[in-house]
Order: sequence, then C-alpha cells, then structure tokens
Amino acid sequence: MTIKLLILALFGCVLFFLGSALFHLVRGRGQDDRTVWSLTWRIGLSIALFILLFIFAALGWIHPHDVNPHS
Amino acid sequence: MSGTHTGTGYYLPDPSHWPITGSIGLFSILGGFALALDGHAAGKAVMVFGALVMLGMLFGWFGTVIRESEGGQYNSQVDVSFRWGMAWFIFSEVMFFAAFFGALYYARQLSVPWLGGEGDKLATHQLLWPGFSAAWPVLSTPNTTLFMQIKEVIPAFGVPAINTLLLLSSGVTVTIAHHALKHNNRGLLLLFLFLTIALGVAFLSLQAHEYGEAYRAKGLTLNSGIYGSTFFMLTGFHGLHVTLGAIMLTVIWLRCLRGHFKPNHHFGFEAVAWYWHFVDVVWLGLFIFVYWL
Repeated sequence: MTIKLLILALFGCVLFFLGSALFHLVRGRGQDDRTVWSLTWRIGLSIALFILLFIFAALGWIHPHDVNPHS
Repeated sequence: MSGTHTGTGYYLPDPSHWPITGSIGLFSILGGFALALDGHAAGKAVMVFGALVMLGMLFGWFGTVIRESEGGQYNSQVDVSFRWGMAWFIFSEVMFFAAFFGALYYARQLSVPWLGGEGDKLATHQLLWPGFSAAWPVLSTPNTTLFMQIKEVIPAFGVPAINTLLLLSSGVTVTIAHHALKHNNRGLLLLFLFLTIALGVAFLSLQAHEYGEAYRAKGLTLNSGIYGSTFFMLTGFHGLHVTLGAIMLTVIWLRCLRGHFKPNHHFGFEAVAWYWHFVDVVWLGLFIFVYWL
C-alpha cells in the first residue's frame, strides 16, 4: 500500500508541474521561461515514475495487473 | 475572423462559418459512430464524412488564424483571450477525462464488488447473479448471453509499456524543441519537433495494432462487459487526442519551417506543446491505473 501511495504522490507531483506550466502559460504572456521549466520538471518526474514502476516490479513490491479477485 | 482590432481596442471578430462547420463535423463523427454501433450500414460513411469536414475545418480555421497572426493583426488583448480560451478548453478536457477515470474507479471499486456481494450488497448479488464472482479485470461477465467473455487481458509489459516509453520520449523531444525555440536554435527546434511527431505516429500505429490483437485474439472488445467498455473508452478517446495533437504539432512544425514564432512570441507553439504534455500525462495515468494499481 505504501508503494502505491508513493506512486500516487509522484503522479500528483507530475500533475502539479503540468498545472503550474498551464498557469504560467495563461498568466505569464510567454515572456519568461517558467512554462518551459515547469514542463521540463513534469517530463523528468514522469520518466522517473516510469522507471520506478519497473524497479518496484523487479523487487516484487508491486505487480502489474493480472486478474485480482475481490475478497 | 478578420475583425476589428485596432491598437489597444477590444477585438471583435467578424462572423465566421468555421465554428458551425466544426460542429457539423464532430456531430457527424459521433452520430456515425452511434449508427455503426447500432449496425447501420451508413454509420462508417457518416463517420468518414465527419472526419473529412473536421480536417477541412482545421485546415481552414488554422489558416485564417495564422494569416491574421502573421499579418500583425492581433493586439495584446487578443493574446490574452487566446490564453484564456486555452485554459477553458483544457478545463473541459480535464472534466472529460475525469469522467472516464471516474467510471473506471466506480466500476472497479464499487459496482463490480457490489455485484459480487461485497459489503451490504449481498441481496443484490443473490437477486441478480448469484453465480458471479467479482474480480478485476472482469473476465467472466455476469450476463454471458449479452456480453462476450474475455480470453485474456493485455499485459502491462508488452505494447502498453513500449507505448508509454514512446510517448514519454516524445515528451522529452518536445521539451528539447521548446528550449531550442526559447534559445532561437531553429535547427534543433525543427529536428526535435519532427521527432516528436514521428514518435506520436509510432504510438498510434502500435495502439491500432494492439486494438486488432485485442479484438481478434483476446476477445477484448467494446462488447465484452465493463472492462472492455472502460478500456476502449479511455484508450480510444486518448488515441483521438494524440491524433489531434499530432496534427497540431505538424501544423506547428510547418510554421516553424516557414520561420514563424520568436523566442518571446510563440503562444501557438507553447499551447500545442503543453497539449502534447497533457495527452502524455493522461496516458501515464492510464498506464498506472489500468495496468498497475
């Protein structure tokens, strides 16, 4: 469960930087670098999250979906 | 759309036929899709007609706006209205995908366990389908006469992982192109924007191949119960957004070839780049929630 929460928290950070980029895009008038740097953080974190998924799977901490019966 | 836009005055566009043209195109695509689902012979033809109208609208409307922008007709007030238009468009997109992710959550966490008799819904289970055992993905649907059975779900470590890698790579290339534009490096901008489009097309090709496999070999279709429905609704609409994003990126690339956009004046580029990041994040969410969590 902790691992799933960590994955969700990282995904939340990705959403935050995407939202931050949109805020600067709408309010910043394109005169500064804040939009592009927010987007750079967003892609960096997304790649980190993608790699972490496979590391967690290799360590046996999470498993991609198979059929999961509800108990 | 060439309207009244002097110096600092309020921009008032002339009447334009492009909005109603786009509406007719979208209505035809969805109407044709509904007809096709219902087994009407005209369904596919209506969809193709709608798609052609949409392409014509995009070509014509983009062309009008580009000509006006490059002609220096837009003042700062128009720039603000474009930015806010983008914000509201994205708000509607977020709501759109939130509805589908919400449907996935509702089906997986609530309705399917209820049908299996979880919690205080034992009576529901006994009255409706007492033989149904809840699981996710739902391979054996409770009503086997109405819905097909899924033979196999799509594993995360196959095409979905490769597609995620492709889209994330395209996120890297579009970001490099963005930095290149900011530093006025046109060669790098053109190269990495082209790579972004190529990666997007590769993603769509693999997705189409995966759909074929799902239908032919795995029995996973729109008619195979709640898992098939949510899977194809989410990934299908996402695919449509990638298609539109790739078209818009191609237009932006062609504009860059013509020397459009400056390091401090490039809203069109930045809006499309952001949109591409958005569809990338939606896919990452799909990959995590559909295949992993």
